[in-house]
Amino acid sequence: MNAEADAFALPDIASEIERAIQRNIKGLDFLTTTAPSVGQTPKDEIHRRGTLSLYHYRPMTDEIYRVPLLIVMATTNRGYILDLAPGQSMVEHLLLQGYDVYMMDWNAPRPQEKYLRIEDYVLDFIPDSIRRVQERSGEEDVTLVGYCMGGVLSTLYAALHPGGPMKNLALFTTPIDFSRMKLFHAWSDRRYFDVDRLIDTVGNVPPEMLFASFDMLRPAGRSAGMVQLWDNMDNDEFVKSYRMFDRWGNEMLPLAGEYFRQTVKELMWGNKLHKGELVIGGQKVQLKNIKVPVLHALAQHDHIVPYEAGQPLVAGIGSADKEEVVLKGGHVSLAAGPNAVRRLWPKLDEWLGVRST
Amino acid sequence: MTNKFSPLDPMAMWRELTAQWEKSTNEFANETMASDPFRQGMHGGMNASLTAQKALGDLMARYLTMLNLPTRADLQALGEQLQRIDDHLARIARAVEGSGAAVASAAPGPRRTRQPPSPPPATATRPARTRKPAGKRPS
Repeated sequence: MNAEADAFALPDIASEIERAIQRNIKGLDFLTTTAPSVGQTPKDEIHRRGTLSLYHYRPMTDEIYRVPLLIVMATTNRGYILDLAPGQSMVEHLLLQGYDVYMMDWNAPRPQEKYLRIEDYVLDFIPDSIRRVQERSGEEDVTLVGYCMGGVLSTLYAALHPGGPMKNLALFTTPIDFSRMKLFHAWSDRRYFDVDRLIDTVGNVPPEMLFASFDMLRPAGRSAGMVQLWDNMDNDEFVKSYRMFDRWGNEMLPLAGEYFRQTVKELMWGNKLHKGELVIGGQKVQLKNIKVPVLHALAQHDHIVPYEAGQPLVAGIGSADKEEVVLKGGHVSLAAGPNAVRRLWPKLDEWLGVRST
Repeated sequence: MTNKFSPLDPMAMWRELTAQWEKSTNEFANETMASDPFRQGMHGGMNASLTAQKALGDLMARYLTMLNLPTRADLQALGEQLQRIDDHLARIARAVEGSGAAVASAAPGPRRTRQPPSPPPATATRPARTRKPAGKRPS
């Protein structure tokens, strides 16, 4: 090794030693401190009924768009994934861009709510929340924004209420062709999966079971994530972000028994939404009935809702103004975290802005 | 061939190996878990656990009844009754809110007059870019 190489290498060695020391110090911090708080954007719970909580986020600008946004969160997870922390919150971003934001978030369904069906969500919770948003905002028009199963529920609502009230429909990672959700479809094989026995025994589906199912989609993901965490232990931002996502991922919600039974039988086994055979409240769900402007954002590396599962949405609806975008990221990083800050949020703002006046 | 790992960063090779291990393990596991024997075994295990859970639940219910204590079913019935009362209250609250809605909507708030920022002027010299949807990563 020559003198020039030595001179180059010494600071690098010092920096690596410094990083190793920092990893150990911060590692101790990690073990002794609590996870950062989440969902801090100021909001009011304007309505609560059993599993449903309807929140209104306080506007952050003096002038807002006319049309309020109602976010319909996925039924398996807490809504704070869209409001992780200041600077990492989609809700905060939308408020700062001048939107009036509401969210339908879910509480763990109580044992007696095991009878809730898709109908309860689509024909009761969503219309009731829209009515409350209309009342509070004084506006007739409302834009629905649905994430994952929240997107499915919003889509069902839109298809069953072609006359509105709905101005726009923005969806993230919303599955339509459930046969293309490869592993979930395989695991719910009707030859072996006795969903009736499960629901009749447990009532509501326990979150541990749902958590295990999602975790099994990427069995090595958790261990690899921990290695990555150790590697970045000296990076405060990375650790903070890791802890917030980890907390969210671990905090799954139980699912109402009948809703789960229906999801398995009608959507997974029968693939009825894709085939146009799904009946909700006595009405057939036809995607072509959706005529409002629609944006569907899908993630390029989504291991839960692959592109093929979500693609039939935009292809099947009757809207003249419709757009599908495939953005870099995974099922969660599409909507939250640094990837979302760069990709989905600006796209959503650009799409919504001109349609919210 | 150039070495892509920095000899000074002991984590670099570990990082790369972890990424490769994660990818290959996930691929292998996904293939295995989609197989027929795995599905059969998984649900066989689940059914056995549900049978045990039900048997234990029935046994506990019998004991609690003998001891003159409320069973889980009794408590759930009580919960359902409370839920019905809760629903009634929600309906009453809705009716009361409905009558006060006009007042609430008249409360001052931010102006709803915001307009989207006007798009930047198009440059005639630059050709338009068409963006294809990104492809799917092979799993």
